[in-house]
Amino acid sequence: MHIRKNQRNLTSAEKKRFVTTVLELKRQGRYDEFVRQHVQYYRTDGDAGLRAAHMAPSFLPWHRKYLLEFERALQRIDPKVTVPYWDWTTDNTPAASLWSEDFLGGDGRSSDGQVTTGAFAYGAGNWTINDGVLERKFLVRAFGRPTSPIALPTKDELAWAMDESVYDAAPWDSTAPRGFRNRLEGWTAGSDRTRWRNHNRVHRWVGGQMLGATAPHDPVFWLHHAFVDLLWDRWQKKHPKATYLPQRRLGGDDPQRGQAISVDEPMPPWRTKPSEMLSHRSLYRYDA
Amino acid sequence: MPPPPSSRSRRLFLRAAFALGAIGGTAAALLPVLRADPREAGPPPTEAAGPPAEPAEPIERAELFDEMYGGRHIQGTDAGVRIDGRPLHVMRRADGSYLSVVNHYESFPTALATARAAVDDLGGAQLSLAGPASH
Ligand SMILES: [Cu+2]
Repeated sequence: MHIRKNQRNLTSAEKKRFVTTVLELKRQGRYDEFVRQHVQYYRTDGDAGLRAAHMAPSFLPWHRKYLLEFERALQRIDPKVTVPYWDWTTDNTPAASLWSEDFLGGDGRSSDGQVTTGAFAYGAGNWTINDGVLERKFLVRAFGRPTSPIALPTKDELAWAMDESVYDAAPWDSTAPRGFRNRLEGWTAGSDRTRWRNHNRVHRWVGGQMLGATAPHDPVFWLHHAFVDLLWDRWQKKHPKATYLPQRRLGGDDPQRGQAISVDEPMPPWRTKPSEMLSHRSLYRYDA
Repeated sequence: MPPPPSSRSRRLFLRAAFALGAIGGTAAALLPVLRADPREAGPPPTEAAGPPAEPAEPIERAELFDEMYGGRHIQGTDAGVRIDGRPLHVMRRADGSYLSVVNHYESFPTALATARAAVDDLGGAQLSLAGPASH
């Protein structure tokens, strides 16, 4: 049983352990396999076919399993490593220790967005990005979208998702009018500055690779999704009678049949079912 | 396995372009060249239960564009969206809006808005000529 900690409570030795292990996974070539997997399973709801990872009820269990696989890969290198989480409602400025030189490094520079501090800076020599999407090879961030500034999600905004008593709702996609999943994932309406809520807004706020298909190129991806994973726990505690939905395989006349995954259907690529991911308590715990 | 990126992007764009004409105020204001090929149209977009900004109505035309934006040459052609001649992979949402490979966590009402947003977020970087392997 291992513990995932709030990144703000990590000791400098724990930060170093995490960073060193991530760099080793990258050196081995395994890290980029995780990035490719995320790209591969990002299918949008305007397209036909199964949506396992995003814009779908299985957004939460899919990412739980994905993070677990990533964490296991780290632990094969160093059994003591765990993925920390970033509570972006609290550590919500570029001054947070998360972004310091000894952990993830800071914002990108204004000229080209390049991150120049910390172990993931291109100049440090251990974090080259080569994925066929863009020609640039360096990690990029643009905190708060300087061209049209936005803030990280607030506690109130998160509460708006956490207060929702239903897990998900038809049509089980990014247009679902209610449901915790879509409110947390963040595909909801509003003005330009507010409409990308919670999970999506955090990707938007960090910018650079975190905003695109290859978001896991930025190691903060894992800390962000670990917090999303913890939020699912908190939501379950707050709504003990709520269940994952849909509970049954969608009927033959449902337009989402074959696209949205019900609780006992397998999620690619692992064939794990959402029902196997509803609790992580036998695998790991959070410090909060 | 998905089909090769070029044909897939093209197919997606054509389907997207067909459904699009509908979507937008901004697109209409820019006087896009209009064309139609109903054979390329996919199934009708899912009724948007969420609150998309613009009403969707069936209309048989597509938005094509060709302009300089932020110092970059952006084009919407029937072969897809391009920035400085390089393919920008775009995907559709059920409400008819678009995402691009550069912006996967927000969406835009038109292909043109998607291309402009990508320029804003590229920070001067060039898209790869090959396009993303898995898209
Ligand atoms: Cu995410």
